[in-house]
Amino acid sequence: MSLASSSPGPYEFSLQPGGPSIATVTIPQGGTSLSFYYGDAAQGAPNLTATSPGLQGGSMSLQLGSTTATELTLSGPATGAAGTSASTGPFTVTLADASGDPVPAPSSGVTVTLYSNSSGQHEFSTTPAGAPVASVVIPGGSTGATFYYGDTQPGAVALSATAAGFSAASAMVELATTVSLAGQGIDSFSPPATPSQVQSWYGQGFRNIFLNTYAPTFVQEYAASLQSMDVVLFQGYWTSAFTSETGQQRAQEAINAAETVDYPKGAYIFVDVESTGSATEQQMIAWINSWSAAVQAAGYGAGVYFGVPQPVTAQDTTQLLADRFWKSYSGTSITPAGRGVCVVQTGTTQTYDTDTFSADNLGEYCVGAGI
Amino acid sequence: MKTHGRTALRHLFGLLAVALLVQGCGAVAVSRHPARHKKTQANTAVGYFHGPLPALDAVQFLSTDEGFLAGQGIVLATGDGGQTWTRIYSGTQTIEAIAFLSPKSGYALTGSGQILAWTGGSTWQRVAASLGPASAFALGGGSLGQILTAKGTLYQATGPTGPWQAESLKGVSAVSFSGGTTGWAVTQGQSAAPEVWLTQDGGSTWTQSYSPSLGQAQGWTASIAASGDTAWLLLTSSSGQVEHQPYVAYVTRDLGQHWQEILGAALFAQQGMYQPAPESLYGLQAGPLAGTAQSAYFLSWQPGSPNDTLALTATLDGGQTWRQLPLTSVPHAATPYFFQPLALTALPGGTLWLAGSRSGAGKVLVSHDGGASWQSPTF
Repeated sequence: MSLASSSPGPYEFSLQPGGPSIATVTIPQGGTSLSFYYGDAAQGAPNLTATSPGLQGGSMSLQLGSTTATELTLSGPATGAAGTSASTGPFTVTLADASGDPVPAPSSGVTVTLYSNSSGQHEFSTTPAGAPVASVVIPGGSTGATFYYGDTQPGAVALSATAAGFSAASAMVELATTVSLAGQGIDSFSPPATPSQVQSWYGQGFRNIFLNTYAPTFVQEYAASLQSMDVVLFQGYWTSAFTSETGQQRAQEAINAAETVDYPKGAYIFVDVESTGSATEQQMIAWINSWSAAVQAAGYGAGVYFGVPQPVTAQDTTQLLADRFWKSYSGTSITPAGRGVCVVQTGTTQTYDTDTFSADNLGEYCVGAGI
Repeated sequence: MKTHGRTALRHLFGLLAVALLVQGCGAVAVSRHPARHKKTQANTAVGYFHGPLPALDAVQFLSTDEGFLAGQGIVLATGDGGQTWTRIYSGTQTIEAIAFLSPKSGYALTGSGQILAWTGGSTWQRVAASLGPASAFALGGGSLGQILTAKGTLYQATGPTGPWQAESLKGVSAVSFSGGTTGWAVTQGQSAAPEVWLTQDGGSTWTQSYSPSLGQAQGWTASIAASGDTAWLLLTSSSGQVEHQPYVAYVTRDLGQHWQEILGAALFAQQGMYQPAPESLYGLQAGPLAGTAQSAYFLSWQPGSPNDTLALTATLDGGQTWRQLPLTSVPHAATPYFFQPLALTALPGGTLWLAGSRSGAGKVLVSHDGGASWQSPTF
């Protein structure tokens, strides 16, 4: 069966996406149909025909936009952790037409060279923490390739991808590292943290921000906050979880959120202990320790926010695995015995709560993410 | 629009040897706290009361003069606006909620779920076997009584002495009758958003009136206060963050034809839980609400001072404007603690009664000017 097109072309037919060009196809014996692919450098509405001697030919009209790959696009996480291996990613470099729609690479593939504007020691790899590479290949018939990035220097980094014959692409990523938190901060803010909003808070003298891992805009807020402030994570309360779930179960959700944004290992996650319902003092101690052990096993520090009401006493805190504490603004909340607190909630307004970060009684600070 | 009718299946409960005539309809008292469990028999005791007050759970006033307080082993009645109090129940039962229909008749709900009836004499009668721990309690519907158990089943008495039957409406978390046979109930399933239901025949049939759109709904608790064609609805969530609790309040002034969002915690509105409200409560966590046809009062918790404070947000014009009234006119020691049982009742004309506890002792506050100033009555 012969295939033809009314297009001025050039055009081609193939049995596979991006496969070798063909002019005829054969429906196998016993078969009733056959699939093929069509490529055309010209835009328009070509008429495709299939003819075979002794049979009535068939045709169809096809509307084609631009399918010529003219540029690269680059996408990936907005945040990552500074480190010695390429673990931030995956980033995806894609071949696209002028409209930004993905286009398969020709059969020979496309080699894409990767760059970073960082002055720190950095590298790319095709797998997490894999062997360093300087380029990646988009295989023939595929529209993209993935890679990972690592950089020992925290901060904002511009990554770029270039390939001969295509417009280059770039993407920004904020690489954080662990930092000790001191000075003024905020939590429970409204509206959500956008880059301009965070800059506004920075202008008001705030240098630290608590982010709730449950917030629906958590990922965007983390990226926005890192641009101007140091960040520490906490997990909001859910009263029934204190009795219906283990701390470990609840912790996993916080760990997942932290790892989604590549929150640097060693930084602290706080659990919000308040409105604990019917949970008893001993149940809460066990629950907090279950939560803390899971968080610490994941490589993060475990902290506790003590609000009201909750049954854990100041003296009980010496039994806890968590080793950083955050005291509520409430005048009736506890101050942990011995170690004390590394952050105190100092006030509340209609738009945010204020916090003061400082060394606890053992001289240790809350640790968060910063650039 | 969904409608629930009375089921054919009628559940009879172990009853009751009292002939109790329930007349008219009264205000509604709803306790916001779960039951404490003590197992005793109804008891008698009368006489003027001179304190000290035990922990209190409920307050209800039928008029500016006639009202009731209830709590741990006690029900008090006043006929002179709180100048003097008479102890009308004394026992070991914790009274979680009360629902009086007249100065001489009413019910009390014990922590173990028993319903006690009082007809103005010196004796309380147990009118129904335990329905299980109760979290809310209301009466209404003329000669029909409404009882709500913790399991969310609405029970109704078809006559003054029963028998009690289970209503078809399930998953009820709050109920309020505004007079006559008009009442409201709020239901909620495990994951479903709250639904508000209206009855205009004393609970025989219920029609869905409203179901607010709540994103990320986790354990929303409802309270509703009705008066005439007006109903005030407050929804609070059991999940939140660092002393901030999601809450949102609505009002209807036309028997549910239209509902309007009137208050909400801005933080959680921004997080997409509900639409941004025009104003927010002064406190970070929402307490009970009380409402009349034109006025509504929301108690909330305001942390910060060494002992924290209660705050009151009020509207006197049907929700058009609000004012925030920190309860600073009384000493801290006389103010109930927010995180212990707390009950509020409002009367037309601006009289408010607030009852609760602090360190196991009952605390009562009264305002005669819509919450602008408060006094601590002497017992």
